[in-house]
Amino acid sequence: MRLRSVDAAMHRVLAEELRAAGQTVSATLPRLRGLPTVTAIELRIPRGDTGTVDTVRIDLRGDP
Amino acid sequence: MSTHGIHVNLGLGEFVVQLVRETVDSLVGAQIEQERRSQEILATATSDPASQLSIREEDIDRELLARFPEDEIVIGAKYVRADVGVAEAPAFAARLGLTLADQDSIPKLGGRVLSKTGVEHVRARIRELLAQSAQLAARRLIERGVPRVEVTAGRIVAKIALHAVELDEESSPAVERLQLDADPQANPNLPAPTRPTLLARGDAARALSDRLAEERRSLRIIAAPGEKRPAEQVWGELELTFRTVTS
Repeated sequence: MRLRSVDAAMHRVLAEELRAAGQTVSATLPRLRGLPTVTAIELRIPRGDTGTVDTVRIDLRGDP
Repeated sequence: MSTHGIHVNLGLGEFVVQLVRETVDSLVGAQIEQERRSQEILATATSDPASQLSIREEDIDRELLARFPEDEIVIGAKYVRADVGVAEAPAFAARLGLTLADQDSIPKLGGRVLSKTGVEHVRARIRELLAQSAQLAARRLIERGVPRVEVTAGRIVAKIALHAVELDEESSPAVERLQLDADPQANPNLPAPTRPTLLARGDAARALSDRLAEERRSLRIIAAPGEKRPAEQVWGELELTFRTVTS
C-alpha cells in the first residue's frame, strides 16, 4: 500500500478524530483561570506530489 | 490511495489529547517553578540574616577565596595577631570586620595558627555577610517589582509521519497497517510521554494516559487488504492553538 495523500474519505475520518479529541480535552482538562485552554486543532498533510496541503481544522472554544 | 475498508479508529484523537495534556502540564510546571522562586526571594528579603539557611558551604569557600586569595583559611593555617607595628595577617578585621578571640588561634612553632573555633568564626562571618548581601538584593528586587512571565497564548506544532506497516498474518490476517508516529525531533521541548501529569482527573483520564504512555504516541490506521509495497511515509503537521484563561 502506498500512502500518498489524504483524500476526502480520510479527511472525514481525521475530522471526526480531531473533533472527538476536542471533546475529550474539554472533558478531562479543568478550565481554570491561569491555565491554557485549547482553542483550535489543525492537521496539515501534503497531497501527493502536487505540493498542495490538505488541512483539517477544528475550532474549539472561543476566547476565554 | 484507496480508503475502502479503512477503520474510523485512527488513534489520532488520543494523540492530540496527550499532546494537549503534556502542553498544559509544561505550562503549569513552569508557573509553579516561577512561583517557588518568587517565594524564595520573598523569604530571603524577610528572613533574619543570622539564620542564613540558604548559604551553601561552597558559597563560603568561594567568598573566602575572593577575599583572601593569598591565604588558605583552614585549621592550622598561619595567623599573625595585630600588635604594635605588626599588621594582622590574614587581615580579618580589615576585610571582614571580625576580631578574633584568644581561643581562635593557638601558639605553634613560635607563632600562631588558626584553631577550629577560629575557622568557624571566620566562616560564620562570611556566611553573615553573604546573607546580608542576598537580603539587600532581594529587598531591592521587591521594591522594583519581581518580574513575572505569563503565557497568554501560544501554538504547539508537532511533526507527524504517516506510513504503511505490514501486519503479522496471525494477529491480523490479510490486512496492512498504516502507522502515524509523532516525530520527537519536531519539538524537542515537549516533555516525555511518560511524564506524570498534574491535571489528570478521573479514572478514565488516568487510564487513557497510561495507555498512551504504553503506545508511545504510535497511532495506527487499519486498512483493507491491498498491495504489499515498501512503506512510504507522508509528513504532516499537527498544530494546537491555545489561550490562557483570564477570567
